[in-house]
This record gives sequence, C-alpha cells and structure tokens, in this order.
Amino acid sequence: MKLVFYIPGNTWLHRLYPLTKLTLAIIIFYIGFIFFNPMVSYTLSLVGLVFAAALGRKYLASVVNPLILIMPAIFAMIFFQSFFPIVSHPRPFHFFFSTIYYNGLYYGLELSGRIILVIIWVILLIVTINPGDLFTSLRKIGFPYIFGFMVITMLQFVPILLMESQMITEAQQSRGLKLSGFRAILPNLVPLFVGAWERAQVLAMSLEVRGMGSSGKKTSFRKVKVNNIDIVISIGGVAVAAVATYYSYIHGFFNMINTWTVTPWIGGFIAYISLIGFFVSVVVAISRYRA
Amino acid sequence: MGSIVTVENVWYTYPNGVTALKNVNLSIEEGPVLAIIGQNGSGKTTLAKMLNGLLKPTKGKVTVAGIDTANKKTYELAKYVGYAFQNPIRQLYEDTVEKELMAGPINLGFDEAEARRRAEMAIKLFKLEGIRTLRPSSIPFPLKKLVGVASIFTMEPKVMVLDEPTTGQDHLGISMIQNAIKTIKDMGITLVIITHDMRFVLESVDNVVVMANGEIIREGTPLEIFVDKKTMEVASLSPPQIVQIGVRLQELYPAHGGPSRTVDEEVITIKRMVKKTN
Amino acid sequence: MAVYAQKSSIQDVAVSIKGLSFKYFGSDSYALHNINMEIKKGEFIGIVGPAGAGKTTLCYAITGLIPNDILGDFEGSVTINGFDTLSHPVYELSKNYGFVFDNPEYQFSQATVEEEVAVGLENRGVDPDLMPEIIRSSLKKVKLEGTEKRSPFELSGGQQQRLAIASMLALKPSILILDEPTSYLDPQGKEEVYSTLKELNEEGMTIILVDQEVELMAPMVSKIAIMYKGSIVDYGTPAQVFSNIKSTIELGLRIPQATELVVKLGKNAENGNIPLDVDGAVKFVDSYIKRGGN
Repeated sequence: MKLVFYIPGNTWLHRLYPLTKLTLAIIIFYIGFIFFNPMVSYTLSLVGLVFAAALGRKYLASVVNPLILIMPAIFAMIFFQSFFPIVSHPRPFHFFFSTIYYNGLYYGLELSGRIILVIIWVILLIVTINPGDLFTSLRKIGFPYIFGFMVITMLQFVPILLMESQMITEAQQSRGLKLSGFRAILPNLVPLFVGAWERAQVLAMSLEVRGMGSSGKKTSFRKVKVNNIDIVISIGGVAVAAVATYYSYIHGFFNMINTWTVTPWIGGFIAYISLIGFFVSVVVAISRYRA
Repeated sequence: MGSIVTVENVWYTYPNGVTALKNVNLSIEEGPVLAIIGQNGSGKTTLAKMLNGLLKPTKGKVTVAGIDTANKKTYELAKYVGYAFQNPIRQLYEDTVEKELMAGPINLGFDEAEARRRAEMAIKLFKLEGIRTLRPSSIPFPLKKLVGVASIFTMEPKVMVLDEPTTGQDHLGISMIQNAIKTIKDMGITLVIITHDMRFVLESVDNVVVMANGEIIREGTPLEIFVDKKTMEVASLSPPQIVQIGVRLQELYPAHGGPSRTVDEEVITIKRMVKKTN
Repeated sequence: MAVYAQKSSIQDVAVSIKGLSFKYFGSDSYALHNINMEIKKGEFIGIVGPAGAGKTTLCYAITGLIPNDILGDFEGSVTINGFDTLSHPVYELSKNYGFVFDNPEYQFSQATVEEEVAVGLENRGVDPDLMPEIIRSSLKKVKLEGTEKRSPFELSGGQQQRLAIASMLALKPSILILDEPTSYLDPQGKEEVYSTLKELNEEGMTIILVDQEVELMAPMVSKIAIMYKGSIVDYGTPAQVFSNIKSTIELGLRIPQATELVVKLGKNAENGNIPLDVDGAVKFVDSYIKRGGN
C-alpha cells in the first residue's frame, strides 16, 4: 500500500507559508460545511482537483489514487442513502419498481461530497507542506521543538517499519509459517518490536550526543518566510469565509433538501448508476492494489 | 551427486525498475558448500531469494530439488530450502531457544515429539545446552545468529541458504559458524552462503560463484577465484592477505607453488622453499 | 599486561580513565573491572575483543552515557578533555566528542541528509545563517557532497556511516568515538569508513575505534587495547600486541594474517617493528628465505 507523503517541488503552492496553506484548507472545509449543498461541496472538490492537476502529474496521482480506493464507499453511500428518508416529510418518487426519496438522495450526495472534499484537500496539504517547514512555522507561534521533532521522526519510521514488517514476514515464511489470519500476527510483532526498541535506544543516544535535551535556545535550519501573497490569501480567505457565513445564515445553509427535485428518471438514474459504480469501483480498486 | 538447484536463464527486475539479475545460469551441486560473493548491488541477495521462492524470476526458471519455484509459495518450499536471514532478530520470536528450534518443524506439520527430537539433536550438535531455556532476544548476538541457523536446520531441508552469517560477528562467533557449517555439511545438507567475508570463504567453502552487476562472472574454488586478478577487480573484491602474500611470493620464487588457504599451510610452504634454496 | 604510560601533561590528555569498574543495574557481574587507560590528544586508538568483553560499555563510560543515563554501580573516574563524567551531563560532555554507533540506519531520523546533519546544529543553537556552510563542509570531509537532498535511508551502508560521522563532525568535536562502525558494512563500505578515519586523524582528530577489522586497523592506529571479560589485557602498539599470538588466539581474536605469518616464522617485535600488512610480510619472507630461515 502506498502512503501519501510530502512531494518536494517549487510550485506556487509550495512556496506559500505553511500556516497559510493550513488556513486556506481550513477555510475551504468551513465553507464546504456551513452549506449543506452538494453543489458547493462538489465544486470545491473540483477546485481541489484542478489545483492538483495544475501542480503536476505526481500530485494529481497522489490525490486520485486514494480517491479510487474510497469510491466504493462513496457509491454505496449514495445508493443506500437514497432509499432512506431523513427528514420529517420525505418526498418519495418512483423509479420502476423501487421507491426512492429525494431527501435521501440529496443527503447521500452531500455527505459523499463532503468526504471527497476533505480527502482531496487534506492530501493537497500533505503533499505540498514540508513537515520540517510546518514545524518551524509552528515553533514561531509557540509549539515546543520536541513536538515537531517527534512527529518528523515518526514520519520517517512509518515506511521503515512497514518495510521491516515485510522483511519479517518473508523471514517467517522461510520458516514454513503460512502467514494468514490472526495467528500470523505474533511472529511478526515480536521481531518488529524488538527491532523498533533497539532502534529507539540507539537513536536516543545518538540524539543526546548531538545536544538534544540541553537547555538553551534551539535554532532552525529550515527557513520559512511570510510573503505578501500569504497575507493576501489569508486575509482574502477570511473575508470570503465571513461573506459565506453571512449568506449561509440568511439562506438557511442553502439547504435544498426539501425543495430539490429532478425528474424521477434522473433521480433513479443517479441512484442506480451508483449501484453499478459501486461494483465497478470495487473491481478497479482491487485490481489496482493487488498489483 | 547431482544438481540440487538449477537456475536457468533467470532475469529479475524489481518493481522500481532496477534489473538485479541478467540471464543468470547456475547449477548447484548437492553436497559441496557454495559461496555466492560480490559487492552489495551485485545481485547475490536477489539470487539467494530466488532459491526459496521469496522472489520469482521475471524470466527463466528456478528448480529446487526437482520442483519449479514459479508456482510454489515460500512456506511450501521451506521444507526443501531453508533460509537463515542476515538479521536473526527478524526470525526469532519464541520464549525459549528450545521452542524456537521446535517452531520450524511444527510449522511444517510434524508433531511435537518429532519436533522435540530434532531440537534435542540441534542442541547437541551446535552446543546450545547452556542457553536452551533462555529467551532468544536476550542472548548475545553471535549466539542469536547460531540459533537462527539451528532453527532452520531443524526443518531438515535439502538446501540451506545462509545470508551473511559472519556480518556483525566477532571472531569467536565466526568460528562457531564455521563449525556449524562443517556439522551441517556432514549431515548431508547443501549449503549456499551469501557473504562478503573473503577470509571466511577461503577457510570454509568448497566452491565460489562471483557476481557483479547482476551477472555471474566466474565460478571456481576459492583459491582459483582469489588469484584471478581480473575477476577480483570487476567484482571490486580483495583476496585475503594470505592469498595476496602467496601470490607475491610466487612471483618472486617460481618454485613456490602458489598461495595457501591458511597461514599454517603457508608457513610450511615457506619452510620448504628455504630448504630448496639452501 | 603491557605497560604503556609515560607521564603526560594534563593538556596532552584527551581521555583519562582511572580505576573504572562498572556493573549494570540488575546484573550479577561487573562489565568493567578496574580499567586504567590514558589516551593522548591526536592519538588513534583501536579497541578489540570478543563480544561481551565490555567494549561498548567502555565507550558508554568514555562518553558519559554511563553513569548519567545508564544505571549501575560506578567506581573510579573518567575525564574527557578534562571534564569529569560524573559531574557533567551528557549534552555538556558531548561538546567534546562525536559518537558513532554500529548500526548505521538506527542513527537517523530526518527526511534528508542535510537535515540530518542539521539536527545537532539546531540543538546546539547554532546561527542558522552559518548552518548551510557547516553542513556543506562536513559532508565534503566525508566525501558525501551532492547527497544533501537524498534520504539517509536510501544511502548505502558505507555512505550512512560516513553521514553519521559528518553529523558529528558538524559540531566540531576534538574526539571521535566509534563502536564497531563497520560491522554491518560490505568491504567497500569498510574501506570508505577507514580511509575517512585515517584522514581525520591526520588532521589532528583523536580517534577511539572499537572494531573487529584488525587488518584494516593495524596500519593506522598508534595503540591497540585488547579487552576480555571487562578488563584490558593488553595495551600497546599493534606490533607489540599482535606479536603476542598465543594470548590473542586464546582469547579467540584474529590478528592480521600478514603478522600471524611472520610471527609463526619466528619474528619478534624488536624495536616495535613487525610487518602488519602484505608488503611488510612479503619483504620479511623474502629476506627470511634468502638468509636461510632463522
């Protein structure tokens, strides 16, 4: 399984101050969530996809791959939710032999939209923010040095321990162990822990010898600068968020759950396409990740 | 004795695109101890992993004890080919050395009585009596490595692959491994050892396969390989000091007869030279 | 036990160990017995011995990890560049030395080589404007220029150990202590580390090296200490120590084959000269044959 990590680059998004990017993402989530409207959430998702594409192929791939894994859940959500009304006056319609509810369908579409929105933007954050830069900027606003260091170290360890686990599995298979089911975990855990423990011991001593644990100011190798564009985006973002809040409040979150209609044909089509989409996406996800 | 492992026209490319093995052909004879040597990146570890099915050839065929590895899982091949990993920590997980020695046979489906019998034999052969009740993760490193080898031995495979048995060892540990190798060979198991310890190769191994850049560049006995300057250069390896000395002396004294495998043998040769020239 | 010391002035001494004994907390036996040793500035010392002899424990004691971080019964005294390890914390003492461990990979925690070298600089509060140059020159010293943006975990073993050395060098220590740094390396990696150490020593660095590679060590070090069961059983020049074959073999230690050969042919270590490498051995044997043996 391929994990999502920072992809180094020199795009305009990379050059933004880390906290700016964080703020931007938070504002986007905020707007996506104060409106209960699939048009909003899907549009914002599309914007994210466009950003990713504009950054480059690697970035688009890092966003799209996890999405492909999640599509079965999305389609299932839309399909099943459409059969269950949510609010007090359900609005059923009939599509061939089945009764579908406009409210259910709307609800399913909006929830899926939110999930997709979050995934796309969180991944965009991860691939464009260098952890070192992030913690340098967090330190500037008061986070302790050790906190950032711990997280960065963990980030290195995750792929390493996964690889270790893989090697341990190979070692155990070489002893005749049919690795399947629950019984396989113990032979893998003990060596993994022993190895990780030794690693931690050596790392701790190596760091101490390099001065960790001493009192006194810690400096930072990575330099991050706040540029004008960061200020522009941040202020602009907050302004947009404020305006959106106002509109949302006035128009009841733009929640069209009780008013939204399409012809029964289209409504049914959406629901059943999701069913087909579910099966198709399961097959696609499995074949991709078996390779 | 025939061939116990055959590697036919094998190519292997890793998922990241690196081709680690290029048209490798090898026939491993049953009986003699074989070493596969070469620098890191020469393909020796990749080749070793082919032998017990951890890796399957991208092209070509590997046959072990008559079985094609292509469609067999590693745990199925484990009863024919044992593999002792370089880092014993990755393989050891039981509470006691005894249990560790029994784990392999039990995985293969033997009952507890048989597993115990085999463990007892291993304890005797490898002199593990003193540590039999200790936890494998707490014993000193050289003993961990020995227990790692012994726990593959109890599976009684036809072939045992030892991955860098001397790395990280002190000299006593290397001696223990060398004795273990003699024992295992006497029990009729064919050993294939991946190593870059040239002195160890000279002292304990019957045949050598030299790899560089994914290909086998030379096969022969240790002495044949070590005096082949060109092969040593291509593989970026240096022969042990005693061989270098023997080669230089032979250049100075044609009657020398060539390098020896041990210092004591060289001493005898030199004393003989003294008699001859005086 | 070979006698080594002429009295040296305090300024000359890098490490001074007097009457050091240590028992790990929870252990029944002493890991170190009455160790006495003096290492002068600029010396390159090798420490050899079987597993369990106490070599790593000795390193921990020299660096101050024992007794500051590791619990146990500590007797005697250790001073490093004049600082007593009992009365200074490790982060103070470590301003004097760098310490490299046996497992190359276990020493790293950062995403790139340059960040790894920067860890020590950040923790010591070095001016960030000076950092890039310090990092560049440290990497240059170990011949790793150009690898700045790569992940430490992608490097070869030999490169990794050189990186570990560089990350210590960045803090400008006067002493470098290494505990079996080439254990996990292939022959090329071992060569790389040894030639780096040789250069550093030639530039004045005091080096304390624990390792098994007697053949690589012998031509470079000024003294070798043999440890066995917690004591130093021999301490002298390589020639002195290795000509004592019987005891080294008893201890399960190998000596360079070149030296073993000439000693078995009867050569004694008179005036400290005994061949330690192939050239020396060949020269000796040549003249040995010409004069008809001993």
